[in-house]
Amino acid sequence: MPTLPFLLLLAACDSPSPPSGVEAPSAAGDTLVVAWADDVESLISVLPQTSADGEITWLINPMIADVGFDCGLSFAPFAAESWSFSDDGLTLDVTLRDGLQWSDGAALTARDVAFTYGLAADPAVGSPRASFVEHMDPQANPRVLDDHHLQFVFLRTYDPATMLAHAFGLELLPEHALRDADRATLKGHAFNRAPLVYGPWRVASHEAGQTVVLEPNPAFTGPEEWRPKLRRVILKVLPEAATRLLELKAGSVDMVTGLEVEDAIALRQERPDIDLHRRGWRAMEYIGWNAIDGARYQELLTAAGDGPAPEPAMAGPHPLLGDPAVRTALTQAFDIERAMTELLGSGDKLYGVRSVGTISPALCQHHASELVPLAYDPDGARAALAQAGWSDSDGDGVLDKDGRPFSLEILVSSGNPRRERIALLAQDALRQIGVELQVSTLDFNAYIQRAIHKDFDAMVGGWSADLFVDPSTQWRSGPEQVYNFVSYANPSVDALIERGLSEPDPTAAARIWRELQATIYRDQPYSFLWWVDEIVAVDGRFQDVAVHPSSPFYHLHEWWVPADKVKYEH
Amino acid sequence: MIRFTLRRLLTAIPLAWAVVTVSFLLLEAAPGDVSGVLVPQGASPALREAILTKWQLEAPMVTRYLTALGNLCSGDLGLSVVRERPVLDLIREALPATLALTGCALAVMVLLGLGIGSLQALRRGSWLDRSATITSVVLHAVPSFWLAMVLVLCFALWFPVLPASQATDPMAAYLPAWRQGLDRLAHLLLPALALGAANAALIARHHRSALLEVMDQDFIRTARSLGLGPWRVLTRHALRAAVLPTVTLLGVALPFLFSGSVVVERVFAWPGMGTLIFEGIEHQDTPVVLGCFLVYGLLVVVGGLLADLAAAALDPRIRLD
Repeated sequence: MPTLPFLLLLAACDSPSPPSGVEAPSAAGDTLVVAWADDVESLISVLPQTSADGEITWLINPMIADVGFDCGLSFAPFAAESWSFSDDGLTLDVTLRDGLQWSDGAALTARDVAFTYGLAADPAVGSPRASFVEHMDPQANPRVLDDHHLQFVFLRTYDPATMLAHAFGLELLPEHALRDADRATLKGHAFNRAPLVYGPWRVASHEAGQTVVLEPNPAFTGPEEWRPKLRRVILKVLPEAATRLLELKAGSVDMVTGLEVEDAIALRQERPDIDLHRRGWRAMEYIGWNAIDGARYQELLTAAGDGPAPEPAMAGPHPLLGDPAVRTALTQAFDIERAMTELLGSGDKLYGVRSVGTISPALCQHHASELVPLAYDPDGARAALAQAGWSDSDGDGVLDKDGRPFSLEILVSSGNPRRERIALLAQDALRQIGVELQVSTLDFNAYIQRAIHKDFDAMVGGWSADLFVDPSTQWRSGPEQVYNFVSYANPSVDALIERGLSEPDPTAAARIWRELQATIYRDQPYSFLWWVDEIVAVDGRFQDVAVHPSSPFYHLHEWWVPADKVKYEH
Repeated sequence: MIRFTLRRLLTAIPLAWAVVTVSFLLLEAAPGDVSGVLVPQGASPALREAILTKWQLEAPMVTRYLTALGNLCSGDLGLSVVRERPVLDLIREALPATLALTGCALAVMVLLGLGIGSLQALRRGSWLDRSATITSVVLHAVPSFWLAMVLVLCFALWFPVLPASQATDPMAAYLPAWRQGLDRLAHLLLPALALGAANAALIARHHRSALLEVMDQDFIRTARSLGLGPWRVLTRHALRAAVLPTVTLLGVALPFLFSGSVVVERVFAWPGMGTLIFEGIEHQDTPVVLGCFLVYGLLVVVGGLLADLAAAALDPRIRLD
């Protein structure tokens, strides 16, 4: 399972329902072969992880509660048997299930939980999940009461589901195996190649760059219903998407994630025995418009040298894009509905929905569903630009003002064909209203460096949806907010973020977040495009497959194959 | 011969320095750096700072170059920034797969090259000769990644007789040993063919010319006049004399094999040095790239040396000193 911030709505499914009345076999059987883009690098949950790392970590050492999602987070007992908040909402008492053991026979105790969170909090580790503990008392994040009881003490109250997610969100690590490890080089620790486990699966073998084999953990001491029904799961590392698709068609793998829509269309015709599942609105895409003068900001950065980064606002507004009315016109000039149908449509199915912000529609309460996306209106866009003083005075087809042509560079990261296509479609659309877009396709490292340094006019980008509604990363202003690529700065939005993050009442918080989305949408710092529904293909012989926004392997222990359809007997 | 060997091995030192320096400068010149990979999008400013400090990513270029060079001189290839594992361990894991692949590609190159070249020389001017010449020119001209994809399409999708990727089938571990051996061989065929075919074409063309030249010489005419059949003349006399230029070509072909392996390994998801280099460049993981190129440089020197020694062994007229 990837990190909790990616947890979103329940998945819809294109595939037929499993045949009713078919009983799951009592013994484990068959093997699931999965094509995956990344190899395993780290099975330590507090470290930066590849997508393969995240999925396997969750399968072998799950979080202490079973996480579900229905318009918001829900938690069911797993290693944690029960929990409760104190009356003031600041203290969370957790009781762990009795008799849990690691695969080496050592008991799993509250100290392992505390150790895991201690690693996340340690700056020497540089954990990307350090934010899980930032709202907790450093002396009690958590406090161990005895082997089976622990207490998380929060510094302030906020959305209770998010507080629980922070307390339950890290996959556990065994203290006795990692206590003496050098925390600065944990990623190279032998644990990553031979991990101790307490979950339903264990890593049977890992051949670098080739395969990771998971088998049911024979020493599993958790709930009996979590015991896997499959004999084995093999993750086959295939970095090239074309190879993954080819192997799926050839039948040498059973499952592929992240299928492109056109590949899904072909697959539906060539291999109707393969089920296509939808994973939910996990990721959105946008065209970002730089609000500040990027060139001037580079001069300020150079002048600052090794000192702190200058305030973006000091660079002054972008000469072409600083005006929200101009940015709104650019959005109106781009037929987003048509582009969405072209890039995410397949016959009568559409794997996308219009976006009005960075809060996913999956978070039903918080998503501003009442906001109506801007309609395609090139005439309106032309009129708005004319009102802002732009006209084609020299008749060259490109608008100009005070001798400056309306010409922009748009950055796009290579290796993502859909985003490259977005840039080209936008280029074509804006040409119709006299705006010139020059597409620069860059290697990802170069792309992200220019975005962070605000050295661009426009960019095609995307965000993975957060579970926690925390828009700080994208929208809070200030020089330290390096991921606010477009340098959006609005004091009322800063204030709304502060209020929303401190609001313990979910209904009141939802009102704040809806107001925030409306405010941002009015300013159009992005042309918000769409939320993408990921397509996951799974061979039809697997039953009870529940592809979930949190993971394509959601409740993998429940997957099974009828005896007459078993493919791999050994 | 010992002096020659030592002298050739000593040339590896400036070569290694040049390889490391040029690789380092190229990585520096590339836009962006490894922080794009290390720092998760949306990371807090404090986390970003902690990661940059941990890996000294903001140190001046000269400092990082001298540190890397100093470490390499002391035999320390350093830690992979992305994987936090010693580069030496990563190379140790990947090198056998690359040696197996390049070894097989070398075999493909020699067998195909000599075989086709010999046939062309024996059937000079025939349709076989002409079509083989056209094929070898085309094979030599097409990029290995394109050939790799065509081979995958032909033999893994349209006529699915060979596996499309990786070094083994994930289910092979559960099969008897002899079937595991067959499985490994089957996985080697397509990548070895993709990697070796271009050089096989080169060798075929050179070998054809060399063989035609030898066939016109007096000792071949003598052998024929003594009543030896064309096959016997070819295998016992002509081939031995004509193979020498091919042996020297092998030394020249090695760098092409190693550089070609980077792309071919990627296409076939082959777990070797090429894949390591590809990922190292993609993530700008400088220690990995420098370490791999250094090892490739040394392999090329040793391979070239072996080719020279083999040529000297085959032709007593060659004096190594």
